[in-house]
Amino acid sequence: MVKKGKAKVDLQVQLAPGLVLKNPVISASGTFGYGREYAPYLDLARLGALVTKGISLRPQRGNDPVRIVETPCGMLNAIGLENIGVEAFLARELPGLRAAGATVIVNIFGQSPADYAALAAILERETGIAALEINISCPNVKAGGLQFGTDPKMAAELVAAVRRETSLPLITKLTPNVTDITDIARAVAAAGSDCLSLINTLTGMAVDLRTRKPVLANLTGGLSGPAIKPVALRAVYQVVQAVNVPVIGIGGIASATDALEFLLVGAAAIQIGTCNFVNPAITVEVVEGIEKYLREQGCTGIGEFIGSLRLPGAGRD
Amino acid sequence: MRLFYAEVKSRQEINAGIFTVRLAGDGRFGDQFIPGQFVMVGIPEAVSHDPLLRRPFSVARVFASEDEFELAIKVVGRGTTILQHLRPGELVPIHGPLGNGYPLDLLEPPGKVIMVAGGLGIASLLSLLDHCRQRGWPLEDLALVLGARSAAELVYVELLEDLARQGLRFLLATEDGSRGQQGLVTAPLTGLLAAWEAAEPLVFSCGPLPMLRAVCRLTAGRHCRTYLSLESRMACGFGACLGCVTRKKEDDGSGSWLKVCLDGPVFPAAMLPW
Ligand SMILES: Cc1cc2nc3c(=O)[nH]c(=O)nc-3n(C[C@H](O)[C@H](O)[C@H](O)COP(=O)(O)OP(=O)(O)OC[C@H]3O[C@@H](n4cnc5c(N)ncnc54)[C@H](O)[C@@H]3O)c2cc1C
Ligand SMILES: Cc1cc2nc3c(=O)[nH]c(=O)nc-3n(C[C@H](O)[C@H](O)[C@H](O)COP(=O)(O)O)c2cc1C
Ligand code: FES
Repeated sequence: MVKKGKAKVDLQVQLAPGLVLKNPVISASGTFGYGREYAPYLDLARLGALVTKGISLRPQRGNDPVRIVETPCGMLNAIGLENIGVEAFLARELPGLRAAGATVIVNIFGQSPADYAALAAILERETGIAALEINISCPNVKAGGLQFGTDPKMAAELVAAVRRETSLPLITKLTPNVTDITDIARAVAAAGSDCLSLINTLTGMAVDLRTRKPVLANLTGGLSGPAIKPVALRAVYQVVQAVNVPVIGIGGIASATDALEFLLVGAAAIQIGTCNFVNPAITVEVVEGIEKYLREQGCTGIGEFIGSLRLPGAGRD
Repeated sequence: MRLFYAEVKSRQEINAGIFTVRLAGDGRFGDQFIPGQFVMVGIPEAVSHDPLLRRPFSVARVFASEDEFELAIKVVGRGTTILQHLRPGELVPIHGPLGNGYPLDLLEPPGKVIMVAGGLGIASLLSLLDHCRQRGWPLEDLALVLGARSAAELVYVELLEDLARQGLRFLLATEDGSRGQQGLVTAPLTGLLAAWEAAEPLVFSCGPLPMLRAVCRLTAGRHCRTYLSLESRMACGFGACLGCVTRKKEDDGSGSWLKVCLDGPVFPAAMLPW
């Protein structure tokens, strides 16, 4: 029996055949810049991994301001996927991340399956990339702007197109703005996604009664932060039941307790987004908090804890 | 830049809805601070994450020997309403100093400096005024034009009037005429620019957007260099969210944006589209 004390808890988690993280805490895409922005606050090598801003084939300017607005316990954003493009990312950002010893997951997006496939082919050739995260919450221009992630067939075709181009571990990031997220989850897992991450932001809107105008220039935006945590937890729980691939829980995580709740319902790892803005060092604090909790619980490895939710009727405790 | 909890040393109600709060540094805050920089202040009561995001405020004064600094805050919404009730001894999450600050390389005497503040914009410019005095700038070569809607929205007036008695050119205007001359800052500024143009003054301005635009218009084409300190909605304050962006001059719709938190908040007027 391991008692309280200094015993090391093994925090390693495996998310794909070639993807083992030293701990389950990952920074979420679009909230962690290119990683460099956070280097003054923490050692990037201490994170399980970091996910870059969404990267596209060509630089993307994003939406006009106003781009953000705070809402109860959260915020809406309509950044519009502004990024420097894959070429500049590889030249200017990746070398620094490699040097910092960071485990880098590159989040990719495009307007067509061909865009995604081309990105995968380019990134496949680079060293220092641990995995790709496919953002499928983007409009498919050929399908009249319908989001890839809202249709199981479109989502699966997209994942298959990326899969053909790369042997890198693939994480598909799901949108919650669908009727049944498990339909999409099953489809992309079957198409070759090694792992799933969820949730992306929930579509929302804010208006200003004084001016009678929408607050965001884009009219609508993505809701994130603690406000969405219950929705995210439910979605993760459902998807964990529905698929056999590891799931990364995302949505409103603000503490080690929140992170542990996602692991409890079966997430193999978690991502922290909006709360990085409030506390730029939160990711490492959550790593420490998870380790402390597991040690106090007498766990020697995180695997003992993941998915240990006690469901009603599943036997006495 | 530092991340720490600052103890509230004192809070002072200035007028209805405006207060100053003096906070303890973390031993190194003052050394790192450049005038014009700001801090992101966490809302201490937000235990249930509401309000969630930190709020940006300019650092108005640094008291180096005591390792303390002061903010001047106007109550406009939920976060500032909570901050208004801070009590001595309470701890406030501070992230900063952040942003570029005023261009210190240009800020060496001799020469003339004109500072144009609107409302709480005085907070940012007061730190600059302090800096100039510390650099040994003769007060006679410094001018501060302060404007507000009414006397009730003025902060630091006594301090400025005191400096005026020692030589600072201090010009005060309120829109309703309740203190100083009646009208906008543009009237006194126009006179001052005419009088000082030969000295090719540096002009710094912080305040509401319409005022900044007016300062731009008034100084354009004159022999002076103009810098503006902007505000924007900010989620992070350190370049991570891309929420605070503003348009560059000569932006044809394809180029990149300026990040107010990181590239600014202080920009040369020539970089901005107005
Ligand atoms: C670099 C910088 C320096 C600043 N320095 C000072 C200072 O020294 N003193 C001071 O009093 N204030 C300063 N501000 C402004 C201050 O940050 C805001 O007043 C504050 O965040 C409002 O918080 P709140 O929670 O009270 O208001 P909220 O409840 O967040 O909002 C109140 C109302 O204002 C609107 N609003 C909030 N922020 C903005 C914005 N940026 N632009 C337009 N509308 C907005 C909201 O939509 C809402 O209607 C500064 C801002 C910046 C960016
Ligand atoms: C400002 C901002 C920008 C984001 N940009 C991206 C992005 O480029 N790609 C992506 O897949 N998700 C993006 N997201 C979504 C987050 O990665 C995350 O899924 C979501 O915010 C929920 O987590 P949170 O509540 O911890 O923030 C963004 C979120 C925010 C707040
Ligand atoms: S406030 Fe986040 S990038 Fe400027």
